[in-house]
Amino acid sequence: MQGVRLESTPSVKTAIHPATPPATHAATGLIISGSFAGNALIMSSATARRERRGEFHYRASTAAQVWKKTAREPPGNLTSTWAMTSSTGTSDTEAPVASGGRGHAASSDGTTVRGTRHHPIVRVTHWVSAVALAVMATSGLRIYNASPAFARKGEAAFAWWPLEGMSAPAWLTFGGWLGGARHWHFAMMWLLVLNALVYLIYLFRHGRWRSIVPRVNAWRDAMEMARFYMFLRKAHPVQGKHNALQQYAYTMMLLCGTMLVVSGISIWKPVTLGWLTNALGGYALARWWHFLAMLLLTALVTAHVIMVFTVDPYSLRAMTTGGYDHDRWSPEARNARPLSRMLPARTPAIETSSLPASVHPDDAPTMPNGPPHA
Amino acid sequence: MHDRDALTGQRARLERVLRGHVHDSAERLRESGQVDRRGFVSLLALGLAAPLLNACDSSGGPGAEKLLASIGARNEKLERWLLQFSGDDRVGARTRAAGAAFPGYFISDTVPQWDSAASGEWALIVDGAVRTPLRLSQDQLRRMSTRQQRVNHYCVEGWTAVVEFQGVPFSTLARMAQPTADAGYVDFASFDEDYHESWDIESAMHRQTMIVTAKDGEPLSPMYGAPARLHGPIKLGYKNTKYLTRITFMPAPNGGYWSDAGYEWFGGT
Repeated sequence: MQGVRLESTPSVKTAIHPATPPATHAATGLIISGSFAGNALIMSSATARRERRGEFHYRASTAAQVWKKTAREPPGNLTSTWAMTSSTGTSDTEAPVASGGRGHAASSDGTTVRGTRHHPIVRVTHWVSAVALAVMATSGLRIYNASPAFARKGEAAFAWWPLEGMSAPAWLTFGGWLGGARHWHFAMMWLLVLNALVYLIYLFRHGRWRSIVPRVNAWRDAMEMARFYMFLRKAHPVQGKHNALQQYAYTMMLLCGTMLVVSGISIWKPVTLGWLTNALGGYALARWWHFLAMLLLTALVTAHVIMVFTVDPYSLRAMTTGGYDHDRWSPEARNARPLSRMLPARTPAIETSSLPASVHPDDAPTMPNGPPHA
Repeated sequence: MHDRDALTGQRARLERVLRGHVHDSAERLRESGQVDRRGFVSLLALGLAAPLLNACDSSGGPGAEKLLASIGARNEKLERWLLQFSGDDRVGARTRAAGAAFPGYFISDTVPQWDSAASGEWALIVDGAVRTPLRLSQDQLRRMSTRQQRVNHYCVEGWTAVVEFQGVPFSTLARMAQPTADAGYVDFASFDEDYHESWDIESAMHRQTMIVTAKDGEPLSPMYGAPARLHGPIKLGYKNTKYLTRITFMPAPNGGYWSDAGYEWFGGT
């Protein structure tokens, strides 16, 4: 018995140990492979269709190489990691530049060409959800005002909730009266949900969630962004399509929206869908969750609107007609904090990028720890 | 409950301002003879905002009204379909009933009380599309009140209360009266002025819908709808007629007090 154990122990060790890379490498590999495996899984059909039509030249392997390259050689023209720089003249690009379609064409003289920052689906659903959310929030406040407390009658008030019993100002409400607000609320909910479904299906089918959902280590980038806004660092952190604070905010908005829909359904049908209402802690708490998610979403949207006007007003154009000149307009290129450096940056001297031009902005890698000269 | 009037002045002012803006933009358009981008965008924005502001009052323009009504009808279809999956309303075993904290409510100026001297002895009449119309005295009804339940009461305003009621399940009365095949709806009428509400028969036959005669172990007081009231958690509060006088089975719905005032007729939970 003992002999067997003594013999087997070292053999197991030798079998496993040499194959195990250092922990850091393992983690990095996991993130890369996990990310691209998910990408391949979700994008497979769309990618295949595009590639058959010859309009889509993104390949996971290309992006992986890019990621490794930038990870190894961080300095250089990093501000334009995802800008549409020309690849003409570089013979080593893996794929030809996509023409038309997404608008990421590069001109032949080596200058940057403005492209479409957001897909038309994103632009349309963005404004539809803006209208739908505005009507939902204001009509919801009118409904809330009919009984602006959460506790059940005859039970202890929500003493820990500072807004218990406080009604919303009338000018923030919509629908005129309780019945009218309910009609608006229960009609607009369909627009909100259908619109969100269109957006989410786009986001996942095209793999674009990767520019929205923060990576596991994005909190470091978020800290750097916060330090930049607080004047604790001089240079704008390098980012992909969105900075890490934006990624957290936008993902949080999607989570709030999901919570709003789920809790909304549960207080719409508290008996028929009683299992859902109970899962949220009962009707009174479900109603409170609904209200809390609305408050959080409203706060995020308010911050979003403020940041649009004070940091990146050019994104208004990106979100309507789609045009956006990353190298001149982006806050990253302007090194812009709120209400500072609002004018376009001078066109940077174009270096022939070492990156293949076929990489879509959304797929461009982000630096995990910010630039080294931070 | 109705603050439509409070908003009217504010709305009128907004509309006037808005019309002015639209008018100005249109004038500029006419003078220049072409729409520049800025003009187009502002016209578009105002065009979108005008009906919205106009609709601040729920009756908000015939267009919005019609659209909301048609979506409301679709919602109702969905709600009635969902009803088949409905179980019972549940409250925790240790949850206590609201008792006196449960708000009393009626539309008359004073608490409605049945006047036996003027109207004769109170009785609950069950009629309409039934094979055996019933006339149940208060005594008969009280003796039949064997069901006791503690359920939620869901008000359209958003508050809830736990209520403990004793009474006769509606399904028991329906079995006694034997409604005909075409009786798809039931109207519940009261002596609280002209208050009444009609229900779909599926909601009325829900296990927890009952004709209540006692609350918290005591006979129903006039404040809470004596001598008998309708209560079922499957409908919002306003669908639950108090001060009951007559239950009528019908082939078609005939609205209700709050339903006719603009709240959803279905009002299901």
